[in-house]
Amino acid sequence: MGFPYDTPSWDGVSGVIFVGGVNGPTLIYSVIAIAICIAALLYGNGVEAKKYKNHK
Amino acid sequence: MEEQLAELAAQVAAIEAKGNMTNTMFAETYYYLSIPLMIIIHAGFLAYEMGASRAKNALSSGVKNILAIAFVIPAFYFFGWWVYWGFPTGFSLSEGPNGISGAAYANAIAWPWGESAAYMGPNTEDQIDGVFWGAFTLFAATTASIMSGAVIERIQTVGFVILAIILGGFSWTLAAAWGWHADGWLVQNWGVHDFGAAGLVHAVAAFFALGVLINLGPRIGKFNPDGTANHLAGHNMPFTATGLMLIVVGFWGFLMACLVVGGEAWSWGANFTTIYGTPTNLGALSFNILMGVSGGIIGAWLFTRDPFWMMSGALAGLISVASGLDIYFPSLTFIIAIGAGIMLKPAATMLENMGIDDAVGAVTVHGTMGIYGMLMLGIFASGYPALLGADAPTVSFVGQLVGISVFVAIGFSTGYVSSLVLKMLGMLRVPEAAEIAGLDTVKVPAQAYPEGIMASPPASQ
Repeated sequence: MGFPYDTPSWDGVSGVIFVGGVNGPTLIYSVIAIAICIAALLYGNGVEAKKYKNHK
Repeated sequence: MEEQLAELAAQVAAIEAKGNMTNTMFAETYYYLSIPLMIIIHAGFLAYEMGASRAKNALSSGVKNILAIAFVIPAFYFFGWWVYWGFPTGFSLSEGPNGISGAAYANAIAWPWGESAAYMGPNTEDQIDGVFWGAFTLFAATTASIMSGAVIERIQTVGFVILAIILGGFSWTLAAAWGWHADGWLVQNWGVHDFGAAGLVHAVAAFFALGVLINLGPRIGKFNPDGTANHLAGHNMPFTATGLMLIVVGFWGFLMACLVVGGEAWSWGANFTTIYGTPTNLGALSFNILMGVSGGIIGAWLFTRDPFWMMSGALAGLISVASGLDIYFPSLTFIIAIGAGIMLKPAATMLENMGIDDAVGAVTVHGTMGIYGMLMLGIFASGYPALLGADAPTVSFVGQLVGISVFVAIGFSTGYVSSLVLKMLGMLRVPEAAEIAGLDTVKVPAQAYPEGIMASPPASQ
């Protein structure tokens, strides 16, 4: 987290500017985001399946 | 040889002049095109609020939206622009460290009369003030439209317009001067960072609306004698959901106008920057706007499966990451926005349980998510320099907390006091009989649906 450069100044900064930088927890954020997408689809499918069942 | 050198120098100068003019014309066009894109926000609000109204109030809700834009534009021309440039250092109206603020500066560029009128009308030597003003004017109109949805179906037209003028011309502008200006005291002293205006536009407008709602009261039939709430369904959900999607489209214009184009005398450098002068670019916006919208929709879908809340989730997701669109990592953006989508409906229900009738969830979508977004940035971007240059203040959780507290206070206090005055003057709420009859029948000389509309029952939750 936080500013990806040693000195808290924008002077001379060139390259990535996102939170944490490339050495930050980019993999962790991405894995969590992907896991949420999959969980959302599984949960959503379960909810819809129940609805379909009630209308058979 | 000397002649050749002179000729070469002249050619270089000509090429440079041409390049400069191209850059100037790009900058002018960039802001100019953000204006019609932001008009789409208002097309969205128009559709959204008319659809969210019951059929008997559909057109009167639309009249309100149309007038909000019409009156906020001149309000921002006549005094709003002055407020933005005059107040950054606080009520002292003194000049800030960058020399682009204070009463003297505002007097020189922002009054549409006297010497400063040169900057407030067509001028071949000024290719930026008109389009800058235009973009800011649409920011102002957006605040009024945010408030507009919360108060539908029972507010008087002129009372609403007066509130829109106060919010669009003064309340949000004061917040922007303090927290969205390189000389702003919240930026200089607290390192406040709100790139996409989650706090200073969305939260200010939402808490202004909350102040109004307290004085306005709920719609007839919204609450039972025991305090439980009834759902007063709007008459056209497809129209409402489409309107919300149009707002998302318009936000691309809103957010592109939050950037400062590089390479001009008034720029912070050669490339795009934020309004604080810190670096970013359109790529950052593309990554994060899309991931924010996506996360908000998915979060809302998980808990509601209702297209109204899903599209409101798109806005909530976007607002929750707006403060840091310039610096967030897209996967992080998505996670923060999912949180916003999940929180949305419970937060709206909580407000309703407190006896507040916010007809479209505006206080939650724009206010609660504005607060959430500002604070998330304080957590994740702590330590970021808030301005260019050495010894710049840095972003912190405490700074963001101070910033959002000030924005909420500005919005709520001005909304509450101005609506209280209107209430005392009998200009706030329509008479009970008119509300029951329907405002279209009472005051709009046109019919929304002369041939009636078909109804279908909803699915169970």
